[in-house]
Amino acid sequence: MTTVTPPRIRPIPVSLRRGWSWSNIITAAILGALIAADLSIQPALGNLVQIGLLIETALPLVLLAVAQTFVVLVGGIDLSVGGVYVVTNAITVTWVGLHGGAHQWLLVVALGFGVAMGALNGLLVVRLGFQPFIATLGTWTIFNGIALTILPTDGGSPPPLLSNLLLDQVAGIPSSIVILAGIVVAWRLLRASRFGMRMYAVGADEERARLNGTPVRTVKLCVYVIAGLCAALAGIYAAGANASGTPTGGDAYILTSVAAVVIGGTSLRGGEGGVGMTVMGAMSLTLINDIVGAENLNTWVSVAAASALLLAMVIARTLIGAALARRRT
Amino acid sequence: MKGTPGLAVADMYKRFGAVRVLEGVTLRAGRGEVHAVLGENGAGKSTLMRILAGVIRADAGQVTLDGRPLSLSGPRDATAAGVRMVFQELSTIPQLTVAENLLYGRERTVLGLVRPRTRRRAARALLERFDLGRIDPDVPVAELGLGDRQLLEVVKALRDEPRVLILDEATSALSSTDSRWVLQQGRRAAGAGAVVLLVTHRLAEVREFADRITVLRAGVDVVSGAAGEIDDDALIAAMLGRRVERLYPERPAPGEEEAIRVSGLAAPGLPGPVDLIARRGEILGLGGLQGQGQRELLRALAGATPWTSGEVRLGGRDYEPRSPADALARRVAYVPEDRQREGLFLAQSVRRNMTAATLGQFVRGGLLDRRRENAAAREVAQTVGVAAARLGSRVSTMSGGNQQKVVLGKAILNRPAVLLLHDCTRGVDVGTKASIFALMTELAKAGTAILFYSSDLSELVHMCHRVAVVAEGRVAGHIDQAELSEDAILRLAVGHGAESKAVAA
Repeated sequence: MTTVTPPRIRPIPVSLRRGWSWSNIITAAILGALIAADLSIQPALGNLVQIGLLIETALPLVLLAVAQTFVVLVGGIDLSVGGVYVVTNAITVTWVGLHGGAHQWLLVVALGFGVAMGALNGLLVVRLGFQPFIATLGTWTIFNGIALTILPTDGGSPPPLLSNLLLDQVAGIPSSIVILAGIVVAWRLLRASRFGMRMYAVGADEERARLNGTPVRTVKLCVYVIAGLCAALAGIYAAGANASGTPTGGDAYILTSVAAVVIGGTSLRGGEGGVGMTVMGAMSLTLINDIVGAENLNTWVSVAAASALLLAMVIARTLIGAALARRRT
Repeated sequence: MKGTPGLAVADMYKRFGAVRVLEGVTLRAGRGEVHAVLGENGAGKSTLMRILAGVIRADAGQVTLDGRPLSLSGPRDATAAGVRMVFQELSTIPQLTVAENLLYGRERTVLGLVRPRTRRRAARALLERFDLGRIDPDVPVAELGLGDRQLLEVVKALRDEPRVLILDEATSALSSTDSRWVLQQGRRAAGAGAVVLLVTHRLAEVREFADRITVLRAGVDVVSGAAGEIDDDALIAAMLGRRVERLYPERPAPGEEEAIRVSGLAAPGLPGPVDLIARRGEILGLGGLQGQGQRELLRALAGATPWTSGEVRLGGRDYEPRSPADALARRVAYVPEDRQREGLFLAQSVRRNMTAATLGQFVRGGLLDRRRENAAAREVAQTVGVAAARLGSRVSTMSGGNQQKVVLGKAILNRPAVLLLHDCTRGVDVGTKASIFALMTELAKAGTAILFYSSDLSELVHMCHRVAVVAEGRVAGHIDQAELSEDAILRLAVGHGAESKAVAA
């Protein structure tokens, strides 16, 4: 009996095993280093209240980066997350907050707007076949316009109950920490659901996913809706936490949300990564700002440091990928 | 169970653009039967199978299963009807683990959540049911070998007792042990009452495993009957029609002068060392099973991937291209396997595609001399047989055969010293094949050395002066024209005593 060795194909070099891949270790190490740096500059930060305050500043970015992660996981990109953010932010400090919060139930409307805006993006991509970049470039501007119509200048006020809730403590733990934990838990649950599997399959290869009986279009549409919902939560949270709204505050978040995704190690090609690591990425970016603020440095330092971090992450992953590939052959 | 209605396909039509692939196919296969579907490359077998699996939609025609019509508008419909296909191009998702892939869409959930432990246990049980306990369910599929991935495809297809099982060249990339395993699984499924459709090029597999046979040619079923009633000669005649004599031209005698000498070559994916020599005017075949390094060898010589060791002399001078541009400058032209992705600019005109690789020579004073470009394109269009009137149209509007002529036109525009052909006849109609072969002989007569890889062994037998058989990235041996046969190639390809007499159609 002779046997023919089947042709060998080389494995994909970057480790795909879940859990602690190299990419995740780098992300965690970056966050760890930044925490250590911040603590050595401001030792007073090491208590629950201070950590709560830090997370409070981080949460809008965290939520927007989470929104971005979902879209990136299925191989897309969402430039309109900042737009959804300002619309819901504006709604929360106007309609919802009017008359001292007499119409708090309108918060549901704000969330509904988030879902609708996400669905619009999804339909443009799935039904009309637009490139995600182009579709969301368009809706970004439209959403910004809507926000300015609702709230022409910075100001307004959210319902007091919302602010109190978000800035309070739950069983001695600051709300912001509870919310952050909630985000991570929600992600773990979604990740373990059938929808989670489908999302990864669609991101990895749409055609293969289709051959496996995945409703590819529905999955993508749902992903854009989830992104809209997350961005809406970011807008509502920011309104509550700042006790005021801004119709122009969204643009700054668009590229930072992508940066947080990349630092978290989610592949822009889709199918690899996850929200857990994105949260670390977003926290890292927030810590840089915090350190720069504490040291009274120029704001450009903060921008430069964030960019350097992004590049370092990309380079490190390329090098490790190459090293792993060499070891396997 | 035999003889009960089972699967029936009636008057199936399908065209892709201008190419008619299926022209009224009828097929009947009973439950409990292994039904071989045979035919030349491009006869429409895979298209028919993909329609049955809901991957593509037919233009016209009905499919019934046990007398009930099936509506096949997507893979989900086919799956719901109990039709499972083992995909040639692999449908597993590399980023997901073996367990996640095997139970994809069938996960048991508790409150909407998948329990990884339950899933792992189910996957392990499934693998053990198919004697594949050696595969770790927690490994991402990307880390498995191609063979194991193909076996997983089979397990996935058999996971929930299909009513129709389609094996579309499921064994072409497998070792003989694994091939037998796959076919035995097919046999077992038929025993359980499934309709099994077997698409293969290996007549030995048909003889051993098939009950009935249908032969397709040019999108029509030409012969159908019990396997025992049709002998090999009749099968081959049915597959080829009577065109075989006219298809291959006479081979002109090759020259004496050495055109290219490859010594000790190794490249990524090509362990090597590869040694071969092609003389001017010689058509040197690269034989062997698919994926043994032929692609890597041609790509290395074309300057598309750098080689890691070895040396090549071209016309007596050292040759080490750093890029395809270097190779072109030394008049080494390459026709890649995937013409749409690597060979053509689909949105550009025929003219521009033909001159794309040599555009620099039409530049005068920094500007493109369109008149000279046009003249060159016109001349080469005539050589390869593309109508001059079509020079201005987009390549994407042409049929597959004509697209392939454009790729060839580009490659020969500069009268290459060495022409590297990677499966340039796959998926093109017989007429185009004949003109490609005529062109190859013309070029050889004019002194071009041709390295010709084809997945269709009969083409190597009829076109080449010599065949170098590549196995596991090495040249396993050479066969001269006098001794050339498909059998001889396969014998060398699988290492001496080939136990299966495989015939590629």
